[in-house]
Amino acid sequence: MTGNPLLLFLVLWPMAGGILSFIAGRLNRRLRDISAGTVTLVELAAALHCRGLLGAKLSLDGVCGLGLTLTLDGFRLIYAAIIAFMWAATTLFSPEYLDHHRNRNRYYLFVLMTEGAIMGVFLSADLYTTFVFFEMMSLFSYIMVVQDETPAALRAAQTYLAIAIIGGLSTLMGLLLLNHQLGTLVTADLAAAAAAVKDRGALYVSGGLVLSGFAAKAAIFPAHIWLPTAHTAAPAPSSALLSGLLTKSGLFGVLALSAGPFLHDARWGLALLALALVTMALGAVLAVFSVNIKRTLACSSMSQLGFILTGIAMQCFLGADTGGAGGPFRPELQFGDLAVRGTILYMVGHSLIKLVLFLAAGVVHMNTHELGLNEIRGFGRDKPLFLFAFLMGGLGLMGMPLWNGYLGKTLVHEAIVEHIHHIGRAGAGALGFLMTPSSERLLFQAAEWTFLVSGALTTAYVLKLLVVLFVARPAPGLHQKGRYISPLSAAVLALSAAVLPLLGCLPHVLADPIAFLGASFMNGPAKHHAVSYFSLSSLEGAAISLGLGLLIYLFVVRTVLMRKDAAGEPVCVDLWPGWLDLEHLAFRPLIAGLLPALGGAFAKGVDRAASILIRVLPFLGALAARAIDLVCAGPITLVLSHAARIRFIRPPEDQEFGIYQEEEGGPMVRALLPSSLAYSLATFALGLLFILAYLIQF
Amino acid sequence: MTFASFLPLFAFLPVFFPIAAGVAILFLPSGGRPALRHAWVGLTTLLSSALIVAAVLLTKSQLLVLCRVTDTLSIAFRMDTLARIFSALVAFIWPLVTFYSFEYLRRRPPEGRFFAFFLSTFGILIGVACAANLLTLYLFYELMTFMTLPLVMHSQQREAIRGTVKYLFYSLAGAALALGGFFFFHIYGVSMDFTPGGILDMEKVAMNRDMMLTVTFLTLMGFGAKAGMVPLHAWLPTAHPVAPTPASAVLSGLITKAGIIAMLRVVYFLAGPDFLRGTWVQKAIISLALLTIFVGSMMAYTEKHLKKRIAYSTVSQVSYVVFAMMLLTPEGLTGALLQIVAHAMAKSCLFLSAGVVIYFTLQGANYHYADQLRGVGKELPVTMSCFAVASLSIIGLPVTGGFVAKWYMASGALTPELGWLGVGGIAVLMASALLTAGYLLPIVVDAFFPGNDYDYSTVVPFHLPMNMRLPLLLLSAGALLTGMFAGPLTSCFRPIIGILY
Repeated sequence: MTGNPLLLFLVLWPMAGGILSFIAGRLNRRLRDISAGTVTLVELAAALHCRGLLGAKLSLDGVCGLGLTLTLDGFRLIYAAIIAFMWAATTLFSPEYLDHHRNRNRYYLFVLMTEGAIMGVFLSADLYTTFVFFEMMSLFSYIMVVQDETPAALRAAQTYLAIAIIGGLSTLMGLLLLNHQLGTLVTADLAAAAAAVKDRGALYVSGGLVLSGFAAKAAIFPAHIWLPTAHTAAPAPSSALLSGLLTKSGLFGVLALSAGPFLHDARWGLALLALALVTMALGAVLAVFSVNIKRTLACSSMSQLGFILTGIAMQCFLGADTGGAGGPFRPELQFGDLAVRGTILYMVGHSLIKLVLFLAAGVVHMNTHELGLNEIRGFGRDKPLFLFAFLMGGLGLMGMPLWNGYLGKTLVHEAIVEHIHHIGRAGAGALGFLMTPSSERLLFQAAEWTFLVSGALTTAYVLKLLVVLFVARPAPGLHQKGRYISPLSAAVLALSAAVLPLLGCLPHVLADPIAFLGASFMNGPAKHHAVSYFSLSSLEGAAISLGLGLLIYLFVVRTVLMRKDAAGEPVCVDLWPGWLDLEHLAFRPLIAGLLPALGGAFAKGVDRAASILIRVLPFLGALAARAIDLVCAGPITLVLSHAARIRFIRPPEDQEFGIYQEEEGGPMVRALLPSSLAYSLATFALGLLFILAYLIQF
Repeated sequence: MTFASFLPLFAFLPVFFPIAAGVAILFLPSGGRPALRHAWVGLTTLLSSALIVAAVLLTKSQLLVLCRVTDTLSIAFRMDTLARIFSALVAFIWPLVTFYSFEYLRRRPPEGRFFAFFLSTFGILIGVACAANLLTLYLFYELMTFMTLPLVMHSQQREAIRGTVKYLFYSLAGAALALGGFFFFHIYGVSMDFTPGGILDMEKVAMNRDMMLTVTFLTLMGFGAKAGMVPLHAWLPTAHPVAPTPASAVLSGLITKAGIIAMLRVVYFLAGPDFLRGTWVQKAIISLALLTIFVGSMMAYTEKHLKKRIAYSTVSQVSYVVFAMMLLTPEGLTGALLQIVAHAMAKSCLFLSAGVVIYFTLQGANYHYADQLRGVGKELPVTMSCFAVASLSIIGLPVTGGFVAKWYMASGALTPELGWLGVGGIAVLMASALLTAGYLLPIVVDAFFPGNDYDYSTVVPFHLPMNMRLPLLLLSAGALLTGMFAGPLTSCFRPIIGILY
């Protein structure tokens, strides 16, 4: 082991702490809660202490074969701090939420193990290490999804695990190919190594394979199917982590590729953009249709991940504008700046927003034990703290100026606009290999509008949630009076919520340094220059999104997706057809039905053919032996029996000893086809010798 | 005579002491207390392990000739790197399984016969590993087949006897094929002693290259029977499940590896990697191995009977080693050796855990089928945790030994000589890993996550005796540590991998 051991501590401490808490839980519940909380707080302190250690490295030679390497740069530091913060927040929130739940020791054990693993993902300095920790994280987080063990949770967890394993294997295969093609997996060296590769086609294949596993975790279409159900089924603190951080670990992998072998590669960017737009729009539409608070938030996560992926795709395009794929890498050009900053701020913003919103949903669930929008109607009335938290999260999610969600969203939007400006400026556009500048411009204008409309849909579903929770009159039988949240949970919720407007209001003080810190990871510009977040053109995009969203809410959601009940209260209607579900239409029939059936038939065929082959050989040998027997011994027997009047008794075949002929009962032609082992072996060996003799001869 | 002149004899002890100790059991008073027998078996097993470890660590790799048969043929041993790796592995696993059997065999008499043959097999396995020429190898290989027959036949029920006969037939047929190769290597080799890089006399072979390739192919097929390679694989899923579980564990975990050791000897010490590289033999064996990997996993996926499923899994997993060793690349060979170690630990652990589940759950029902195990993890948390860890290694998920082995094996497949066969091989490995996850993880999931309607009031956690708990824990820890500390382990492989440079 060489390097700074603190990096290893960040990874191993939560894992050790998880085991510690598990043991503590066997003794006493309080002790376990205190232990788990302390572990995460120590981790937070350690992560914050790391801010002075930028550039620290650690390599564990020989561990897991190739050796693991960790490093700390700006982006990794940001995420180490966010991971530690969110884990501390959710763990402190958990005791109240999980009261009356079963198997809590197990839950804390695996939640803390997951923290260590995801730390490893974000600190990893090479893709092998990333993959090792990524797989561990996927496995450990399975318990976070399945924890409640309701039928829905079991099913969602099954899907989660299946997608994680399929994605993981495809990533593994891609990494093997990539390692072979590039000769290295060190994240920082990937770009230079890929620039030297002639055969880009093979590189796209391996890159695509690596991407698939990471994209699956980031809920990118079409591997998004696990997310809506898994995030809904998990306990709320886990949902916050799954949505806020585990999906980001998938994006970490996507970023490592986009800023590595496919740096500023427009072809790669185009693929990402296509996936991003579908994910973004589909997630938003699903969220608008949803009638379950956690499902809405989950689908919203999916949609938001599409927004972030758009930012990553735009890095490729803006980079390509400056040099193009395979062209000279010129870091002094700053065109990618907007997209890089936008991506970082969007990621950070979304992590923090989803923490608040899922914890708020947890508050709803632990009081009402319901998640359906109609059952929790009016829950938020007369609960100022809850209102504050949910409103901060909601406004952040909408991208309202002065809240943190706005910053990332507007920068990514600006990046699209910037690219449209660049098209045709230097002759052909970034997609010159595929289309003319005018059609490229059209494509990106369509992308921009998809972006804005998805933003509008975001506004619509947030409004829907806000109205249901705070405006509508409470559903009958809803718990209203008395304390609804413990002081500790309340403090956690308030603190997490207060961060959002703070970040949004002081972008130059808080957001800029974050963006600047993280930029080097994405090969962003080295120079720091100011961006005006609240310029007129930036505000225009936000205004379109928000205004359009309001219209959608008023004219689509209110009229189509909500009805008035007898008392004049709005009731949400589930209009999404049940059969329209990619998981049930395609994934399950294919992976659990068709492929195993085909493979099984093939395997059975081979199995059968092999045993027939093995039976035919001795059979032929025996046939020959009997023939020889008949020819040689027959006359002798005949002579003897006539001359000496000796009776020859052929012993009955030993049933057990010839059992490898598996036919039970039924007439066998014993006279000619003995199933005796001795015959078979002798003749088999004889046959073999014949073959060998033949071979020697010729 | 001085002490030094006894020293060479001392070196034969790892092979002959367990055999002698095993035979001695047959002369113990059969009506006597089992405690006496347990003490004898336990002590001699531990002593044998200690002898083996001493031999692995202390002896040099010189040739030890026991007796000469003719002037060119002899019974001889040599503790080279391959022998060291395998002997150390056997010395670790065998005592664990023995201690597990003390508890298990209480319900499966007769103990005496079982332990006699079990202990003898221990020594014979070391003999297979240390054999210095093909004659010795063949001798111990056949002995191993016969010595393990009573283990498979233990219950003496109809199925067990059928399984045994099938096992016998396939093993003998395989060995007969291999024996054919013996004569040719004798004629075309410069000596009969295993030599790194091969013994073939290239001048003699030059005339009969195709014939020698065919012979090598047949020899490999023959030894492949023990490793469960298609088409001689059908005995394995029949014979392994009918044996008592401790025997299944070593049959699957170690005895199949004896076939692998023999194949490694043929490829790297008789024919030589340079002779085989790029030939149709290499491609044919790789294709057969890939076919086996897929068919084994697929059959395991469709199989519901727990032990049969694990046995089919062995068919698939052992062929990973065949695939990797035939790549003839340093990474491939590293992966193959790692896979031998990791699979031996994990598979023994799986079988032993399955044995606990089948015979010791307190609800009275004997679980034989994979879909009956709902909630078993609540009754047998330690057992099922070990099962889970071993499963992860078999699937090949980080950070277990199976994962690192798979990484090396797949890296080794990307060699230009193989072209698309290598890439296809990786794809098959991945598909097989997916299927493996499909047939092992649902068991773990059902065991630990029975659903919120599960009736916890009926759960009576079963206290696992230390004799069983410790082997399970050590084996699963072994599967885990093999991966985490794969670096130091692979550095032990270096001398044998050096053949390829």
